[in-house]
Amino acid sequence: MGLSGHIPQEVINIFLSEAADLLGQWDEACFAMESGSDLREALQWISRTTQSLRRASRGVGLEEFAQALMSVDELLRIVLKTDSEEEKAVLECLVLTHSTLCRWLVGLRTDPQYVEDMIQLGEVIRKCKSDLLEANLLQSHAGAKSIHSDADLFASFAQLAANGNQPKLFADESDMPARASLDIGERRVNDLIELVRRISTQHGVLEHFNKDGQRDSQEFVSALRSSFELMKELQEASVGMNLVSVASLFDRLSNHAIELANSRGFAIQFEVEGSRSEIDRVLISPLWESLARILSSVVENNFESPDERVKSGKMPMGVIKLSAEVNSGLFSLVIEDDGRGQGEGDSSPRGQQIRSSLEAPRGILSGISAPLCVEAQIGKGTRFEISLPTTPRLMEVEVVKCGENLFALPSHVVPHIVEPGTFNTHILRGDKQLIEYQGKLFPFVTLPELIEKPVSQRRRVQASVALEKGHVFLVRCSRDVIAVGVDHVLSRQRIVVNPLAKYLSEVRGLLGTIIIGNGDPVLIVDLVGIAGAFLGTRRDREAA
Amino acid sequence: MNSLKTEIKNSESYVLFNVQGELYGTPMLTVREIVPFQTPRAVPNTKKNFLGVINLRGDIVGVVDLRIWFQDDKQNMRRSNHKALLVVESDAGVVAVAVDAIEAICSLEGKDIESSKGMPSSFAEGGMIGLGKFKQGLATLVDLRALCSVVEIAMERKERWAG
Repeated sequence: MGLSGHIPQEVINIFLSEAADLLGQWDEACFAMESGSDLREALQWISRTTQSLRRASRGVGLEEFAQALMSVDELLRIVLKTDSEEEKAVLECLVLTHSTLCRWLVGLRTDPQYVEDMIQLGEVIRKCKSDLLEANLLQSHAGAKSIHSDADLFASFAQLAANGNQPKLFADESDMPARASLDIGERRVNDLIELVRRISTQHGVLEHFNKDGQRDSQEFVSALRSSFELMKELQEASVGMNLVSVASLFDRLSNHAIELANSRGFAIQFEVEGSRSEIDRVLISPLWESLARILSSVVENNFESPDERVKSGKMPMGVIKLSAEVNSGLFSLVIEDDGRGQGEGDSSPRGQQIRSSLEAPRGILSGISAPLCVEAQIGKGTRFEISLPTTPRLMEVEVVKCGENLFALPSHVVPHIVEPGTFNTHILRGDKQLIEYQGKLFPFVTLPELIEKPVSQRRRVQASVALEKGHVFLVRCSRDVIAVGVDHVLSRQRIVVNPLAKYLSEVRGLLGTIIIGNGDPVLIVDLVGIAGAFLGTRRDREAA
Repeated sequence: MNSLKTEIKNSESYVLFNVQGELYGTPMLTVREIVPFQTPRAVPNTKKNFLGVINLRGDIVGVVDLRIWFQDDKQNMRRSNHKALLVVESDAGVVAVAVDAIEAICSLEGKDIESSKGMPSSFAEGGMIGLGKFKQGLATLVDLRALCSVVEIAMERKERWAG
């Protein structure tokens, strides 16, 4: 039984969208289990997610979907009631359930009556339960059958939808138990202690020189320099506590792509490189959310049929290559396929489909300040490149000055800084400005103009003055490169980002703050987000 | 003994401060500290009465003018002469409220407070406690912690432009 026909499409869409979000949280909890975080907390998290999903799926008439979740919920209750040592089996079961439910949701998007084959999952869950029972880990499973009355659920959602409010089908994230514990390897902790010891020693050396009045000596300067280096190492080591390998993420992405291709009736070869690279655990979830969507788009749109491939001199089986690399604190990830290389700029229906399928991942990646660059070569394939700092807590920034204001711009989104006097400017009709650099034209905007809208005519005049004397940053954002003008580039710094207070996080264009040497606070600008919004607005205006 | 207890229970200490010649008071327990005014670094895309951010011993703290909570912020547009900051720890984070002068810290008994119920108020709902009769004069009593917890400084919500 699929989605009930009498339920408004609006409610179904909300269900599908929020179910996908919740499955993302489920996946994050699986990652936490894998990386050794508090097992009980992760299981409780998944259990709450399962219950919310079950109630909501009943509300939209997905009875089989709800039954599958009921079965998983029973398993979770058994595990939570006992001190089970069958972690691996439970995790495998949860991962399989996750991928099955994801496929189910994908199927429902195209066919409201779609029902996923549950035979394999049912067997795995049954086996896992019986293993737990056999191991005598279960004292009693009374109460495993939880009955919730959901009779009024749909009616209230429909009422909310009719009133123009977006119904919330799931429990608030704040209801979820907080996952506060981290599993950190012994080596990392020992390295950190060793660093603290070296810093204490260095501090003693500096004190000695200071007391003896040798602050101008060569030794003092050298000790001070060593101290700075140690502080830098300490920054990286402490932030590194939060890093996890992307191996599990890559495994999951590989399974996702292969299973999706199989469900479409063809096979692909999936190659992985650099899976030992590490990234901050808070980035895993948005990366999964975006990369899974990109891979879905690749599988669904990019490959020719085996016959067409052979005719064009390719192997019958399509290849997707996923590679990652960490260099100077920057995590670069590349997805390449050897498909038809039809770009999103293509005006054909397929090109439009590719464009719309990449909008969601672009939005998610923009949220973590990671631009997505896509290059397609007809007949050869498509290359997707994402780069972002390994952790949002430690960032390399360019500190710049615009008028009296200082700003920090994340270095990883600025592939090039153009020196004053090395470019030409063009002013087009409708007050649009372009700069010409190395034979290419780029849309130009000054940083104050980009951050603050609307811009007064007076400021526009000031902005054009800055253009002649200032530096220009070529910023990579979504499909384009935009030139952003600033008055002066002061320095490049590797900094620990101060998180924003709740009220500041609502201000557009801010990523965080830093405190520079003289104690002044400086704002870190979300260049990808604001430049993307600026170009989007400009495109909309042109289209209109 | 009983009467002393009753007195302690019924009286509360208030920080009395001045903004543009008007006397205000806030319960002392809502204020974490009082520091001299520092010129804040302006933040784009924020409301006029959000003055910017400062570095308060390594923490970035937003500075607001009391008028940010006025329901009609067009009134009273005279420039303030800020001299002190009342630092408040709220549910939304640490916020510094800029004031022109700290007048006194004094206690007030319950009987000297006129409840704000039914009283016209320029503050957001729940922010005004009432009117207090101090020897310095009549002061508007506000709960700065409650006000800071609901402070909205953005000109435009992130969701609206990012989408």
